[in-house]
Amino acid sequence: MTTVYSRHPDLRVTEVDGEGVVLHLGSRQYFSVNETGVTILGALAEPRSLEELVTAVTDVYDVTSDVAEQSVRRFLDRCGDAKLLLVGER
Amino acid sequence: MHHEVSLRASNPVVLALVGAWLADARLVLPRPVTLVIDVAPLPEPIADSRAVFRQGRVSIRTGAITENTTLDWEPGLGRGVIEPGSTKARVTITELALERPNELLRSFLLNVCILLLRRIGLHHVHGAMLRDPLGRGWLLAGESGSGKSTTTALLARSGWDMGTDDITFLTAGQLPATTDVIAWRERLALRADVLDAFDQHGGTALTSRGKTGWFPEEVGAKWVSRVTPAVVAFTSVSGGDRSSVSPMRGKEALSRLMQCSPWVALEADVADEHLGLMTRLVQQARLLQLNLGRDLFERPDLLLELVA
Repeated sequence: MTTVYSRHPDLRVTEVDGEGVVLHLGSRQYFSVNETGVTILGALAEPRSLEELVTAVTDVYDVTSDVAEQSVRRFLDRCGDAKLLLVGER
Repeated sequence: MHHEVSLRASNPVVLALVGAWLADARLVLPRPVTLVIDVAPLPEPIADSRAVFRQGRVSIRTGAITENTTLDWEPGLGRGVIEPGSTKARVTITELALERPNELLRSFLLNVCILLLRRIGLHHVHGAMLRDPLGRGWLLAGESGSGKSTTTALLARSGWDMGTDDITFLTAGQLPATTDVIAWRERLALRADVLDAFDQHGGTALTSRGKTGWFPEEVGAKWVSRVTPAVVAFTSVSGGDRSSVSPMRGKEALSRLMQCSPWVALEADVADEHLGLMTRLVQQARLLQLNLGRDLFERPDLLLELVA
């Protein structure tokens, strides 16, 4: 079994000039995210594993897998704290 | 074809009071909406576990598209109900509510109208709207006390066209892929502490708000109902002598617009449209932080030099 992550259905992600603002309709909170965050949230429109999210980042940015994984993990932690994600298995 | 808010009320006091308020607003709507108001004891409250969104003493509950949107003016003064997908709001107020006309209009019924107008694509933003002598539309957004009304008053008196100093609505632009701003016309209202500096004769005492008000024409301005903003500025009062402007990033402006339009997080079925209008606005306009100094009182057109 692999853990997969996806965006909470109450999330609305708006992109402006490569950066983004995330609005959670349930909690009525909003957050700003950087360019990498927009890329990860875009991938999270469908359930994704950590490995798939790392690939989504390395496909766009010239970074190593290790650096991308650190970035993805930090982002997932932050999103998890704010209850922006659904976590499941496949 | 243009429409307005259709008011139905059997109580003559309500008909006169609310009718005059809506007539003053001069809203030009793309589709009709209806406001039905009865004066009667409120129905017994029903259990409603949905999260409450508070605007002053008005509690708003929205939820699944199968559920009504409700607004409760507390304590027990009024209740508004808008059914899913409907463009009609049914409002009940008590006799006691009629003794608080300002709160009835500017708090309770304004919130009812804000939610009703969302159904026809108008999305409220707490802001001022103007058109400068170069023909550019401006939206000044910010919290209460951030200088919107004072700036609007100074600019309106120096040749700018004015829509409102307080109540605006975003709507789909008349040009493709743009957002327009529609004004809810009412008196621009100044607090006592800025009246001396404004130095304008006349005005109507808005006693319950502790302000004095003027319609645009009363300060020599032309009223404008709609603009396509080329400038969106977020105001703050610097307290210093000199005004200044600084550019703002898109995501920061979008976050600030959400602060000035908290209804964006209500009613998922229309939230996407609301967000889309905000996003287009941020993409089409020049985005600025505007720090207001005392020099603006001497030279309101300084703003044109700062934002050339």
